Amino acid sequence: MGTTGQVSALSYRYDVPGVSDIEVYEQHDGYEGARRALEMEPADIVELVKESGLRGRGGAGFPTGMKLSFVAQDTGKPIYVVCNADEGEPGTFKDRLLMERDPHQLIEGMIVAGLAINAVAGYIYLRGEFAYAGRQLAAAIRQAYERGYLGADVMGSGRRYDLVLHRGAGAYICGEETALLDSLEGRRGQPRLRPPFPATQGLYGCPTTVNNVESIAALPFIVRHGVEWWRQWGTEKSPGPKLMSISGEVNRPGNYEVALGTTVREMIEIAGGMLEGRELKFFCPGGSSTPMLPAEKADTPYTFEDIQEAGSLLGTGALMVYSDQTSVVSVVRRFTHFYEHESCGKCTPCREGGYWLGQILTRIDTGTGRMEDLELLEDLCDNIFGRAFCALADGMVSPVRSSLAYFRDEYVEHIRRGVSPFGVEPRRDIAVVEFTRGGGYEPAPPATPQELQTEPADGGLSS
Amino acid sequence: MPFPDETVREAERLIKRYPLARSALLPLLHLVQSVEGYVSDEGIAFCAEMLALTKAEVGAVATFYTMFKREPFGEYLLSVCTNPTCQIAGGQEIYESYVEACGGHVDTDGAGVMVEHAECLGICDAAPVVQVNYENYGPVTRDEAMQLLEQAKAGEPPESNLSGHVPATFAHVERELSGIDDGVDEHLIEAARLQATTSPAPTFRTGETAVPVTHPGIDPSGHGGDAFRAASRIGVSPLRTRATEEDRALAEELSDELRGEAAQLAEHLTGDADQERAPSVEEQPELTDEQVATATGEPTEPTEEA
Repeated sequence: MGTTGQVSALSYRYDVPGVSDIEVYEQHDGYEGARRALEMEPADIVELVKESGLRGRGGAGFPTGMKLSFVAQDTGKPIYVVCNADEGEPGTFKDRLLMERDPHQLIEGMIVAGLAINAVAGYIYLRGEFAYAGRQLAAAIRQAYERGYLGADVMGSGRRYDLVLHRGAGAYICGEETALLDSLEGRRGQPRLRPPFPATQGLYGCPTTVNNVESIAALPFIVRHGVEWWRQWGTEKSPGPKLMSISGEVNRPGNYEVALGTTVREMIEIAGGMLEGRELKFFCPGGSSTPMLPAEKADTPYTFEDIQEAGSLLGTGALMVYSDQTSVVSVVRRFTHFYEHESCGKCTPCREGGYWLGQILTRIDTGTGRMEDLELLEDLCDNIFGRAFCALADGMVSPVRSSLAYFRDEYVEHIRRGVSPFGVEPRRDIAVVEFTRGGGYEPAPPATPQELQTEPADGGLSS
Repeated sequence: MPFPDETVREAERLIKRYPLARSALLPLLHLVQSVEGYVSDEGIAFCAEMLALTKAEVGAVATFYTMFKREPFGEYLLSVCTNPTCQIAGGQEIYESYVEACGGHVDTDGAGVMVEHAECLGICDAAPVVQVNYENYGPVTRDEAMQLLEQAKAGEPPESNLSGHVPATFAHVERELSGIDDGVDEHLIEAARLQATTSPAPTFRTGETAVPVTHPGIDPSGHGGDAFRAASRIGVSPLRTRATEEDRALAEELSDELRGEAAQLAEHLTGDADQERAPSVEEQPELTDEQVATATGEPTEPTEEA
């Protein structure tokens, strides 16, 4: 295993003042990855990404290099790169910050991805609510066009590559790749039947690759610094650094970049530890749709394989931390309402099942639950899981199933007492923390976690 | 309201950015909101006309996405995140206080505000979060949140403590979201033109429509074929004889068990097997907008999302 702890790779420009300006970005090695990629054969770029072992950062963890190699090259149709910037998974906020702080990084990644698969154009499907990120990206794209890094003659190579910023309109389901493509085609965002997969028939029936923001932003780094640099972090199966969104009942919730393989407990420490007087009770390792794990599993190294072995998934890298003073039933109930609201309605198990899960959980949470509700919940989950077009349904049952597995006693207590054993009290003791990371950029940061540089917290509104 | 010529020209520019026109629908709906402040029935008709779609098709999209509002409210939209991390930090309380203070979800006094509870807004590090026209504020106490509401009502929201930007009015923000002012039109329009003229050209998906049709007379695209027309008694319904011999055999077999419309359908299919092929969809008389609306159950009144 490589080094663990906090690192500075994808995030190393985050704190550079004015880095959203192309001038400053270029002073910090900007567009070097794209220049390097222009000198390479497309197949070599794909091969390099394969060797790096980069796995998709959007939730499923599919090897990015393999995904790129699946794109059909012989159809004669235009080929598209689509960036999935519809970040909506509860607990996840890594892509938003990347786009707000360092938008050129994503644009450069889109150029490299485009070169790797001979694409004619790229689309960034941005979550509509991210107005500020959209502003940053639009300005960055404008600058990249002005410099000739996009458009008819990319960096003087004679190749044409365009980049379209397309803003969504508020639908979590559009983060599912085929739903995203439907939405991009101007339809309701509902998942498609597969096969055909997007690699052969994606956007406009053309070969398409759909990748997460962080996966795409990693490409220029891999091209520029090579496989070894990337593999210095993480494990054989999960190499590289990972942008983490750590939220919940910790002292300094925020975005942190860590090496894969860092344990969950270490990450909680990196985020300032648990709030005073609170103890870790459970955590969702990769956003709300990954099964929650109890405190005992906090020493699990954060890698795809270890988290899976522990009974959950790495997901988007959103570590949600909850303490012994939080009711698991209330949290699960709220998660379920999220999925109920965001179900696109295409598949009955998800559309109707979500509603019923919500009803039953509300019943239990508000003190009118019945013992047989627990079996009913399990039965419902069995009838939802794996019976819908896309993974939203599976995500919906994850928190319910896992909480029943680990905290069945608490459910029973809720039902027996008729009230929540915990009051859900609003809390005022969390300060805003801007992005914190290790010191200055070094391609190979030292193994030990560096001192955190916390910016002064601005807790309130200026008015 | 009729749309000014300027909007028509802008809509045309948005459409030309994509190799297939329909892709511009979401940006167009944002543009409509920037003109009207919400998406009215006229706004839907405008998009339909610009993209040569039916109003039902546009309505289906407009009602799917939460950012398209179907009723007028004014200048500021306040979204309160009520997902777990914000919830345990007090988001739910803030939302409830807002609804109470506004006497509902819309308060047209002053600048006019709409209050909504939002699913995870992706700012969990600053929980609880309130957005004013998609500008973030957090963490906010209940008092600060109420002050924010007052300031929004007065038309003077403060700058965001996270981005440092003062939220523009809803119409302004929607204009930004439409992407019309992104400023790279000439490149995108040329790119789309090149893509649209390649051979083979981009098309809309074909995968799902290639699924073999097994039901008699049903349009394979799944968008309601003749059987649907017949069953819903819309317009003239000359049955299309797309059914195969196999379908007819099945219909005959089932004819005793079928009742009502289905039985008539089966009878028609088995009885008129030798009849000439009925007119195709294109040849059929156009449905009026009213009929389309009835058939798709598209609400004629704007509905508030629960």
